[in-house]
Amino acid sequence: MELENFKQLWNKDTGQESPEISLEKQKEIHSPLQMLKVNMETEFWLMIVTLPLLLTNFPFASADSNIKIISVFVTILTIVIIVYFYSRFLKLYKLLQKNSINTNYDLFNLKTQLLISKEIYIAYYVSYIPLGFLLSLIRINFHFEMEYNLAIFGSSLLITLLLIAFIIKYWIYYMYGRYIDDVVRLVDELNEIEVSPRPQKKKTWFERSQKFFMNKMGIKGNILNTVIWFVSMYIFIILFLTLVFLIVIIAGAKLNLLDIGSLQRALNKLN
Amino acid sequence: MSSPEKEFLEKIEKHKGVIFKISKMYMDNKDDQNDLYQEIIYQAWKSYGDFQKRSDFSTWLYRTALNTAIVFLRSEKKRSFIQNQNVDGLGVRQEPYNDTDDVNMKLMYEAIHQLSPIDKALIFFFLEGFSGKEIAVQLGITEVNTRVKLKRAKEKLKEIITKQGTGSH
Repeated sequence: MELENFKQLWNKDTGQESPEISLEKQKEIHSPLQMLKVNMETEFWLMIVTLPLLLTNFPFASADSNIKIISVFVTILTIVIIVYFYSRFLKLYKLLQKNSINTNYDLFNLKTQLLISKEIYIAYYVSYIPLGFLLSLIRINFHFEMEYNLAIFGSSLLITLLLIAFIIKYWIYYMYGRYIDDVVRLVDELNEIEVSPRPQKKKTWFERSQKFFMNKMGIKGNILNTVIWFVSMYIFIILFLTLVFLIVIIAGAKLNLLDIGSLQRALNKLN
Repeated sequence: MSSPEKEFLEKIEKHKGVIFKISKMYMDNKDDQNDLYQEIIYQAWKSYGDFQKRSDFSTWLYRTALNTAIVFLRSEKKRSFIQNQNVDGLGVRQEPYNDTDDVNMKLMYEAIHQLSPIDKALIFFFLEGFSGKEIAVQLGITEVNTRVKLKRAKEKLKEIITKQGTGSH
C-alpha cells in the first residue's frame, strides 16, 4: 500500500460514525492547562485551610501574647501572598485562553503560559523562606543567647529550606512539570530543535494512585489524589524530621556532644 | 437555542466527519476518539467568538481541532480496546468498497497512530490536499521547514507500512 492509496482511503472514510455533537464541557481533564488549573486550585484551598492551622498552632501553645499576635500577623501575611500569586495565575490563565493564529503560535503561547505559571508557583513557595525565618525567630523569642535556642532556630530554618527544595524538585514535577515537558517537546519538534528521546520511566506511586482515582471519579479523583498526597507529605516530612532529630539527639548524647540538661532547658523555655 | 449556537452547530455538522477522522488519527480506541471529538467541538465552540470570519471556517476549525488533538491528554479511565480491532467501526460506507478497503483503512490508522503528534498534523494536511504553502501557514513554520518535515513524516509512514507488511495488500 502506497501513500497515494492513503489519500483514496482517507476520502472513502466519511467519519459518519461520529458521536452526537455536544457543546457541554466533559467532566474529565483533557488539556495540560486545565490539569494545571485544577491542581493549582486544589492546592490553593489546601494551603488556605492548612497553613493558618500550622502557623498559628505552634505559637498559640505559648503563653506569651506577643508571640500569638506576631503569629497571627505572619499567618495573614502568608495568606495574602498565596492569594496574590493565585490571582496572578488566574489572570494569566484567562488572558492566554484565546486562540488561534497558527499551531506554532498557539503551542508557543501554551508553553510560555505553563512556564510562567510554574515560575509563579516556585516564587510563591520561595516566599515562605523569609516567613519560615520569621517564625523561627518568634519561636525563640528573638533571643540567641542559649546555644540550643540557636540550634533550634537553625533547625527550623533548615526544615523550611528542605521542604521547599523537596516541593520544587518533586511536587512541582508531578503536579505540573510533566505536562509542561510534553508541550515543550512539541514546540521544540515543530521548530526543528533537537528533541532527545523520552526516557522510559516506571510509573511512580503518585501517578499510579492518580490513575486509580481518576479512573474511578474523573476530576474529583484527581483532586482527592492531590489532597491525600498533600496530607501524606505533611505527615511524612514531620515524622522523617522527628526521626532525624531523635537520631541526632541520641547519637549526640551517647557521644557526649550534646548536653541533655541544656537542651531540656531550651525546649522548656520554648514551651 | 441562540443564533450563534445554531449557526455554529450548522457549520459543525458539515465538518463533523473530518473532525472525527482527526480523532481517529490521534486516538487508538473508540472511547478516547469520542472524548477527543467532544473536546474539539467544545474548544471550537469556546473560541468561536474569536473566529470573526477572518479566515475560512473549515481552515479555522481544522487548526483548532489539530491544536486540541496535539496536546490532548488521554483519560485515565480503563478503556475497551475491542473497538480498535473492529474494522467495521472505522467508517460508514458512502460508496461501495470491499473488505480490502476495510483492512487497509484499519492499517492506515494503525500506521498513523505510530507517528508523533506533529507528524500526524502534517499527514492530515497532506491527506486533505493542502499545499506546502498552506500547511506552512497553518502550522506557523516556514515553507522550507514544512516541506522537510512533511517529507520526513511520509518516509516514517512508509517505513511503518513496510514493517506492517502491508505491501501485499
